[in-house]
Amino acid sequence: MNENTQERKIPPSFAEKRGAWFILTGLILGVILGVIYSWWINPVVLENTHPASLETSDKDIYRSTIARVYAATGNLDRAYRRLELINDGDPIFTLGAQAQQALAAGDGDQAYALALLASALQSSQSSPQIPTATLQIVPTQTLPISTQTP
Amino acid sequence: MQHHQLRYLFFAIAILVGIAAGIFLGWKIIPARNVHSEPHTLRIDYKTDYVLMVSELFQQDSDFDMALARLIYLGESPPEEKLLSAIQYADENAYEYRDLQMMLSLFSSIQNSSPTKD
Repeated sequence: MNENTQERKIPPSFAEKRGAWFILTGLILGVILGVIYSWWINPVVLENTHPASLETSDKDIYRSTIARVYAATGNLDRAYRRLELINDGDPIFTLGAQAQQALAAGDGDQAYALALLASALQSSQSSPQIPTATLQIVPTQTLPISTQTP
Repeated sequence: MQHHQLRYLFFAIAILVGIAAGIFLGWKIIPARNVHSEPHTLRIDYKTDYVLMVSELFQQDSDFDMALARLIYLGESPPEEKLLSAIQYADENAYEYRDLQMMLSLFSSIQNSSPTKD
């Protein structure tokens, strides 16, 4: 540096001032494109699904078929195992509610089958059971009192 | 590499990372909460059990049209196809003889009712 030159600070350009915002912009743009692709262009196709994942209306049809089969065959064990597949929180309540809906819709046969299965499940649950746990009384043990000898 | 070229490169990388994150979000996280399956996507053993239920009802009421209507629940494919795959699965997995017979009975009824193709 000689006498004629002097040090000057160059103000940062507009592009440098912007910092790394362009990375965030790119990320947001990418997420939007990715979501558009995964929801509309190439959405998830489910395969090998479980009855518990069915839509409510499809579950209702499945449940009413189970109830009709029970009404026809009387096989409660099989009906119970099938109902477990739908994974209703309270199957008796769900069957009863669906029976009421069927009755309101004028489908008496379906309402009867659903109510019959609900009733059978209710009575199988409330049947008296022999208690299996019994209180076992254990005699207390006492140690012989020791006597001190002089 | 010039400064603005580097910016373009990082911008492109950010978009790619964002797309990957968006696809993960759309396929794994959000559908897992909201997506419900349809009956035609049920696993073969559940489909077989449903076909068995339809066969049990058919044996009781002999209502052929109703049995066909019930089989539509499993999708638009021909009922013979659904029954055949169910019978095949039941046979391979040692279902009870009576259950197999009920499904075979419905299958033969459908075959007899369909027009012959010559």
